[in-house]
Order: sequence, then structure tokens, then C-alpha cells
Amino acid sequence: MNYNQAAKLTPPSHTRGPAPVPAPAPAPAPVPVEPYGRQDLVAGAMRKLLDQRAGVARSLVEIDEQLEYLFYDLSSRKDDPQDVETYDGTLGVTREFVNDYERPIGQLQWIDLTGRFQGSGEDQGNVSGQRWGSGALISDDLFLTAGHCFRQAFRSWRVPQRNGMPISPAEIAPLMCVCFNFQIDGETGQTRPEVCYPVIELVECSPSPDDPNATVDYAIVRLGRDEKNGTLPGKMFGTLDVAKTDLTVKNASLCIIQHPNREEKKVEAGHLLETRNGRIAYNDIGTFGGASGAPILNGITGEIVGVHIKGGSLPIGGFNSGTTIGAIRAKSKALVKL
Amino acid sequence: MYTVNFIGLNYFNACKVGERDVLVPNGTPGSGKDDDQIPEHFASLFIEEDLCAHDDWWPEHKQVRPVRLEIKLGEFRTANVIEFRIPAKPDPDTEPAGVRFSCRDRTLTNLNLDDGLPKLQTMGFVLDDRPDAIAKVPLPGGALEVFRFGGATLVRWVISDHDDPITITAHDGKATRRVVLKESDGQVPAEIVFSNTVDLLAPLMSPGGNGQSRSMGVQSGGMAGMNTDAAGSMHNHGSAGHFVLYAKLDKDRNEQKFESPKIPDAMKLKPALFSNAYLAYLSSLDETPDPPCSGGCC
Repeated sequence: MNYNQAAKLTPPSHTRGPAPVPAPAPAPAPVPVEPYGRQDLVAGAMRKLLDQRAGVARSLVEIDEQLEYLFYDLSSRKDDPQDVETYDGTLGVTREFVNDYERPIGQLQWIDLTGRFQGSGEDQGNVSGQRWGSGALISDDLFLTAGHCFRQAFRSWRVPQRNGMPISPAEIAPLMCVCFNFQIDGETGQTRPEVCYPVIELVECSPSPDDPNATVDYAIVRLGRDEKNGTLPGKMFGTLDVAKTDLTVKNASLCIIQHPNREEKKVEAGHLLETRNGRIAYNDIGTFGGASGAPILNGITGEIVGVHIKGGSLPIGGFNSGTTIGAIRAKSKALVKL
Repeated sequence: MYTVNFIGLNYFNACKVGERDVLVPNGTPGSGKDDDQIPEHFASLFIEEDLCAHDDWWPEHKQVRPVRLEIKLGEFRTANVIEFRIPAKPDPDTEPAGVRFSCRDRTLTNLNLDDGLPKLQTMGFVLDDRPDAIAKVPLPGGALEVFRFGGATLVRWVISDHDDPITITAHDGKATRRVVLKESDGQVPAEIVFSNTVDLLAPLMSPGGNGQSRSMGVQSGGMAGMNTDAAGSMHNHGSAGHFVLYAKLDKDRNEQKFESPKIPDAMKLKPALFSNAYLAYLSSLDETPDPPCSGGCC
């Protein structure tokens, strides 16, 4: 993204070769006085031309801005995430693709903390019941998401505390659950009833209190059985395959199925911009707060090639990014066992 | 032409005939109920340093805040943004600071505020004769349009006709301070951000902290007197988030009115276009959810 303001005019560089030896300064000649004020005329003409130039430049900038707006007006609507069950197939992957791969993708939520953290020195924080992030089942009971979903400090949220200290990620995780089916029913237009599973263990998390500066951002949690049927989530919703290696082909098709703005499950798709140093970038896939942890899917094979982490793709440039599956594999013991 | 981009809690007031201004609810310490504090909100201008010619802002309320933007994966550019904060009021009854922007437009066009922003009147809001606002921004003319900004909203005020150089003044009842921008002829229109949010540039506290900023990460120049010790505790305001701060403007000061706001779907709005480094930074954060805090109202 070019955040620079318009380039300012700078004088050309003209210092080439050895510096000339300064000649003795001649005696100053008397400046002739022009009775008709020629210098004033020239200066006046120049001012007029500069004013005209500024006016034209301003008009061009305004026209450019209007063109930008109109262009984005034309293109923006089709680039927003769409509900998975009513997806029209225009974002870059097929409807069949979405139908095949959306079910194991769920939403991480804080459970209702009412009645908890009431003891002396305890504080519930302000996260009770909040819808939080996205993620995907990679086995019957393992859910892959973003590590920063279990962070202890946020700008506007506060996780539960004891004696002024936020509880650890390992303690945060079991205060969450993962819900599937939180999506608009394609036939009725109503939100489907969710099916939720408790998080019973934080299996892996990076960064962590032991390694707070880790650049690889991912987490794997273990889910328990649902209360009603006693089944593991993978038996009910299936699992996604995890790619063995990074996807590095520029413009390769990518798809992110997510819970943007903490809403019902939606799909977006686009292209790979770049893969570098354990991160994967894309600039034509709209994501929003609540999409953290969503799987980045290979738009052809459906394999997980990364975990979505950050926003940054703007109408004027920039990019969104995630952690590559290669970086996760290099760190994860759980993935090796799959 | 230039734009002022409002983010966070700002009330676009057109309650009375002929009255057109933005009232900024006072979120400095003391907000919320005694046992239910909302973290400190700051009313600030964010202007890229390159745009500023000179100023005589309150020195203790001005700071250059470097913003690190990732241009390509792993490649960064640092843009200096100057935060000009409106000083905290000594008490709630103090008149809000008057903040004025250069504007010769005399017709104010409201493009979509009624559709894009929640309406406080539908929640029983009655504007107090002496609202606890930290700032008041007259809107003599120009065009107002609300855009999507992430999952929230941004209100853009476009001012087409103005004096040059663009000057912003703030009067706190005692002194008038100014920020003067560089001449704008031939340049990309300046983008000014007017924000009323928690400190979004402060580094996150490590475990042992409270998740909120207690200072601005003081750098050269310092920000003495801007620590936010009282911002420490923050409790659950339900789905309202920090929205209940609008009670500061209400005749009854009744937070309950604002605990379940009906907020229009921001996804139906056009995304905001901008080149301001501060806005770009806010758009590039981890995508854990934001609390429902950052929308204006009308």
C-alpha cells in the first residue's frame, strides 16, 4: 500500500563529477533598473500559471477520488463474505466446494461466566458469553485456531483475573466452547440452532507465556462431547485435511470460511499474494473481527494451508495475512500425530 | 478539499432547528457507574506529521506516535502520526472544548447518517441542556457520510471550501490552541481523524497488567498528566460495550437506556477509503472481535 501523500516537487540532483575549483569572485556588477517593471510582469505571469496549475491538480485529485469511490462501488458488493448456505458461487470457489468444506468450521465462544470468579481477589472480566474467533476441526476432537484468541491482554476486553493477574491461556481455554452450525439456514433464512462442545484442554498455543515473542500464531484445543448425544464433534461435523506443505504459488485460489463480525458463518475467497517466513498474505479476501483462527483453505483441494490472523486489506491496498501450515507443522507435535 | 473522519463515540446532533454539531461524550475518568467503570476514552485528533505546518497545542496533550505499517510481508514503514488530545475537563459541568475546523461551506449535506447510524432518540434519549461532552465540533457545512470501517462505522465530513492553510482550533474555556496544516494546493486532500476511543496505540499490557493502557507509552516530549490510572477496571456492559457512554449527553444520565442499542448493520455500508496511516494501522490488527464501541450516533 502506498500511504505516501502526493510526491512533492524536489529539485533535480546535479552534483556529478569533481567539484569545480572556485574562481575568484568578480566584483558585483550594478543591477540594471528596468523602468517598466519586467520582473514584476514575469513574477505575476508565473503566479498566474502556478495558480492555474494548482487548480488543475486539485481538480485531478478530486476526479481521481471520485473515480476510486465509483470503482469501489462497482466492485465492493461482490467481494463481501456471503452466508455459506446461500452462497451464489461468484467469489472464486464453487458452491459445491463450500458445501463440502464448511461443516467442520466452527466458532470459538466464551461460556457464561455468571457465578464464577466471585471469590476474594477474583474478577470475571468482561468476556462472559462473547463470541470470539473461528477455527476448524482437524480430527474428531482437535480444533485448530489462532493462538492470540487465548491471549491474556486485549485493548478493550479483559479476561478473568485473580489478584490482579489475568488467568493463563491454559485456564482461559476451558472457559470457552466451540459451536458449529451457527449459520443461516439456506431454506428458511433463519439462524440454525448451534451445537456446542466444551473446550477441555489447550493442547498447543503460540505465542504463549513461556514464549511470548513467538511469531507463529496458532493454537490447537481439544473438545469434549456434546451434552445431548455424547458424541465428539468430528463424528458429527467431519474434519478438514491439513496440507503437508505450504502453498506458495502466486495467485493460487484460497478460501476462508469464517465468522466475520462474530456473525453467522460466511465464505470469502480470493488469491494468494505471497508466502514468506511462515506467513501467507492475500488482499482480495474480506475478513473482519471474529475471523481470527479461520482456516485458510486451498481453493482447489480444500486442504488447510494456513490460519487467518490479521486484517489489513483495504480498498486502497494492503493485505490480510495468516500463519502458514508449514510454520505450524514445524512447531506442532499434535499435527505430527494426525 | 479535506476530510475529517470521525471514529468512536461521537453524537451527530441535529436535535434543534439550525443546530448542527458533533457532541463528544466525556469518557475521561469518572465515566460509568462507580462500580462499573468503562475504560478511559480520549477525544483526539490524529494527523500525519507530514501534513502539519505548525501548532501551539497544549504540549502535555500532544505526542508524535509512530505507526508501523506492513507494506509487504515482513517489510515495514513507519509513519509518524501526531495525536492532539483534548484536555480532560476539570469537572462534568465544565463546558466542552469547542473544536473548529476551517470551513467556508455553508450547506451541510447529510448523505446517509439516518440509515447508517443508530438513533439515540429511539432509545429515549433527550439531549441535556448541559451535556457532559468533552468536545463540541460545529458543522457549518460540507457533506457527512457514514462508511463501514472494519465491523464498525466511520463518519466522513468532507469540506470542499475552506481557508488555506487549513486550521483547527480548540478552545477549552481558558485558551485557544491551533493546529495549522501545510498549504493543500495540488496535494492529495488531507485526512484528519477525530477519535473518541480507548487508547488504541498503547502497547498491550503483559500479564499482571489490566489489559488497558495506563499511559501513552511516553516517548520524547512526554505526556505528563495523561496517565489513566482510573481506567483500570472495566466490567461487562453486555451487548452495549462502551455505548452507554452516550448517557453522558442524556438529560437523565440514564445508562440503562443505552444498554441494548439497535445498531444498523455496518456491512450494508460502503467500506471507507482512506490513506491516513492511523486508520490503516487500526485496520491491520489481529482479528479478534472488537467490542461494540466504535460507532457514532445521530
